[in-house]
Amino acid sequence: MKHKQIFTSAFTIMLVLSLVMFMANQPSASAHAIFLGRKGKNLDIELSPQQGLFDSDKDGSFYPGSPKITKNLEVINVGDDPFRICRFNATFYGNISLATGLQIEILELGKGIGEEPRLLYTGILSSLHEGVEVDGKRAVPKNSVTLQITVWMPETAGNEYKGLTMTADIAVTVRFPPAK
Amino acid sequence: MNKKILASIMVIGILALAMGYGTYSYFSSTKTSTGNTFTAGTLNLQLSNDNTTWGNDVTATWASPSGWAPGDNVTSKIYLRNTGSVAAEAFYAWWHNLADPYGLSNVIEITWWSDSTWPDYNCVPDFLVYDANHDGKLSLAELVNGLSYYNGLKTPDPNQARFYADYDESYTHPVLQANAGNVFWLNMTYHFMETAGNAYQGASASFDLTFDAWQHHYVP
Repeated sequence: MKHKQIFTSAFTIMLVLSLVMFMANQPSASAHAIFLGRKGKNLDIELSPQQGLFDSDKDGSFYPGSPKITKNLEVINVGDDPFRICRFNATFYGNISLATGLQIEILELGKGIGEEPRLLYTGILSSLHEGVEVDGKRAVPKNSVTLQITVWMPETAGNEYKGLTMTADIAVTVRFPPAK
Repeated sequence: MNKKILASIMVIGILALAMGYGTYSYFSSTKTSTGNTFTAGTLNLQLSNDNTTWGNDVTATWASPSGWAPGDNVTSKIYLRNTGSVAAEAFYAWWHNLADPYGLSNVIEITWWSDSTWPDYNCVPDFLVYDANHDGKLSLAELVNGLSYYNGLKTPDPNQARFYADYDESYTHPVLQANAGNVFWLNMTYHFMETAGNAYQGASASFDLTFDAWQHHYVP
């Protein structure tokens, strides 16, 4: 009998702990009522355009000191939760050493008057292969975030990059925004 | 007995916490922008002896005929173009690798030097800065061995350049436009001085002329 009580206590403790940890994984109460299981599409995004943001056939080639090429990438919130952009990473194909000769700057554009663009990342393009952690602004459902992506070849680049061509798949990761 | 049960509860509790901590994370979503292409341009200098057959190198642009004797000339053009996608704003040229066991280069004089920007202008007098012995003549030896007009150095880089060009014949475009948009040439006459004596019978000499095209102007 005594053992049964102890077992019941232990089981209750485990159940409570599991419930606590599960709740901790849920969006904050201000955004959602807490319930077991989720409804709707949850956290989901779409990119526009989905492919060919940078196209060397249309944009031309890079050379040391060549004009910077700037493109806008829309990150559309098609889910039910707000998000923040938290990570960029890229996979390169072809003459991947070209990525070490190119610089990239990623700005999160502001909305409305007075909201300044937010610099998410600037540095060497090849660093995106390892992935970079960033801290974007909060974007609510049915809205989008505009990323202004600029790529250029600095004047210090040398002949080792001459004639190289590569393809890059650039991944954007968002997450549910933690309370700040 | 109670101690064992209590210990078991603690272990279970710690494991439950550890499992909960390990699975603690925010929801995330990732999408990928695919097929972004980046291409670096090219700058590719090509040479030709006849403006027809092109390559990275040419040989014997100026080659004396058999029986070349004092008073004779060798006149030839060398042609340059850029088949790359990036224009060259300047190119440099320098004469080097002189192989001259008999000193023949001392009695070979450059008597004509023009280029496609001003075909009828003989620019030899402009290059008499290399006239080391001040005899009013520019010998092949002086051209090869002289110090740079620009900074007095003698190194195989643009600082040593004997010749520099930065515009095409229209003076409105870079000297070597992209995609072989123009052809630049140098025309030179090498003259076997009449004063050369029998000491040079059967003598021979050779040199290399190297061109270096640059995307941007270089200011020594």
